[in-house]
Amino acid sequence: MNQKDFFSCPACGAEVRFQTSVTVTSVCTYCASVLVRRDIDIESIGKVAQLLGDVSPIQIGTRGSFEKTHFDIAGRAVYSWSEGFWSEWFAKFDDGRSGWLVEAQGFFGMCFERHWETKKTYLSLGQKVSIEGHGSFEVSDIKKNSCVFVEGELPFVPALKTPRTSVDLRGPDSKFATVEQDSIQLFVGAWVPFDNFNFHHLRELDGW
Amino acid sequence: MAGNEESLLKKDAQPLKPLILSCPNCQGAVTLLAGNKSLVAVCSSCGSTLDTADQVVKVIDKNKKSRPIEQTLEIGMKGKFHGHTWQIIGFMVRRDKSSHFKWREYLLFNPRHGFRFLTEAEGHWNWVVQLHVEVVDSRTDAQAMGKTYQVFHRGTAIVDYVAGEFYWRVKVGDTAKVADFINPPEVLSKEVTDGEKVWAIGEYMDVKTVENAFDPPVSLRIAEGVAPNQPSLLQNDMSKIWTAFFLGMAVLVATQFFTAMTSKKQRVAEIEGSFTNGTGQPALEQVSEPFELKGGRSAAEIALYATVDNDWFSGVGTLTNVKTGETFEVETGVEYYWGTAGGEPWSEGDNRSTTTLYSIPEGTYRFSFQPNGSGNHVPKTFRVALIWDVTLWANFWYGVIAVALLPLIAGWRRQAHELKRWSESDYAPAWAKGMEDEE
Repeated sequence: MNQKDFFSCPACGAEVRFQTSVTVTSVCTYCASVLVRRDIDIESIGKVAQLLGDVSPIQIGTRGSFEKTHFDIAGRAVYSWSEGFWSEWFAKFDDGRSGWLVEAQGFFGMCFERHWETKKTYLSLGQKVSIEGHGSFEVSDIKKNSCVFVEGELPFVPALKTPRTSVDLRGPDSKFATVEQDSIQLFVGAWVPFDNFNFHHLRELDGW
Repeated sequence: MAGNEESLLKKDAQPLKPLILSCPNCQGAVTLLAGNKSLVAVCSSCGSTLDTADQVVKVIDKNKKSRPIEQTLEIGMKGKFHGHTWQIIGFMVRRDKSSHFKWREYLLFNPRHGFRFLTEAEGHWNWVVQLHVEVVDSRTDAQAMGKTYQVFHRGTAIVDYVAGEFYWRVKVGDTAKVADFINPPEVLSKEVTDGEKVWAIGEYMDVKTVENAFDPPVSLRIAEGVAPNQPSLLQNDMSKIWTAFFLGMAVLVATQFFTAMTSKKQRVAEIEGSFTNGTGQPALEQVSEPFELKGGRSAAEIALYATVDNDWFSGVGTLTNVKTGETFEVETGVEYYWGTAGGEPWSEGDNRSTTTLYSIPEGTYRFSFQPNGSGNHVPKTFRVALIWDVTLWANFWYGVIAVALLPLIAGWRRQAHELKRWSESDYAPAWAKGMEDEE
């Protein structure tokens, strides 16, 4: 099922892999060029600088479980907004699903892209939205942000340093949802305590 | 099958180290313990508050304030709480705008588990975490996670002092509208800054727990007063107290029931006679035939009846042990008065009385009765009986009072504690307001 495609990085010649059938972007581990797969060829869309002060315990290759299914972390996208950074780790599940492990202000959550019926793009703060199968959500935040860093493999082509608007919604229990206004996408998930993920192959942290 | 784990792992993964920046004001080293998760850091050399979110570090407040003496935990200290290690990375002092009441907040960080707060006010500590669950709040309460929290405080909080680093933008002078809702030992806090609402849940933490979380343990001040979400007094002991009460009552009732059922209440002797006061002759002492008092030591009763009519009558009853000569004597009497006052009949007393003789050993006895006084000169007839092995009630009632004192005193202490709690709030429920008005 998985295609193992090997390429040579156009910038430094190092070996570049696309490990899953859904990934279209892979960041060269040697020169940090962001490489996009287009048919039989790969193209560089830029380079990313090292992420300074990164204290995330997650790394590419971390394995965890969510609702009894295991996943491997294959990639990462870091977004910057007026109040700091957050990470969205690309989680490839054993059953073939793609999920996003969100790391924001020390909290971790798992979300999945959902089909969005009401393609209502312009939501306002405090507005109530009903998401089928999940309940009633309330808009808690509208953030202007942009992708500033990527690593590993991703199932989309990142628009580096390009502003976009994300709408955060708070749902029943610990559920949350995010609406990406520019790409018209809906993600629904839940915040989960770190221990519940049962992570393996976490990053080593100096002094911890 | 998922991709080969080894090939997905970053080959040159380095253990992460904290980020060190240069203060634009004094060029001193500023260490960010939470790396790029911190947005603001206070330079420990010059006290400037710096914005560290961007590549370019900016000074957002040069105002250096002196370290408050109430700061008891240091930036950088590591302690163990709820099974994990946490490092203190930030500290702030906040003040209520109207009452000027001050409290302290310590920001703790663990790279895996995120951020927590330890708040301290008047020596009371709370372990606080930001909430992501839905909270429905009204003028009087807040509902979350299936529980109801009562409103305790509403006000504006002002930042008076900052040190270390924070994961949100904060500086001295910042204000936020706050509301606290309690359900001891928890407190639900709402904070609104520029329209953005944040909820946090705090749990009361014992001073000793905070002290012993650090190695070596720290020494903290003694708590004063009752904190809003401090656990109710004797919370864990009440079930034990009630169990002791019901057990005690059960034992008392069972014992008394058994005693009452097994007491013989034997009428062993009876004396009849008549008495007239003022005849000038001493009254005769009448003596009964001998009788046996069996079954060990017990109590006896003298039951007296006399035909007193707006009059009184008294005499001395004596129990004499035929073999040992030991005597038990007691004064006994009756009085009965009646009449009408303003058309209403009244009466006082009775023409019957019982007097108890305690702890009489078994044996052969005679009972004697000597009348010794009366009110008027009308002759009265009397009948006095000695009843053996009667049920005593006094000890039973003393026992009931003693056992009832357990929940009574506990309940009184708990109530006093609750009144103290609500005395600090503008939202005290009706039953707790009485104290306020008196003060």
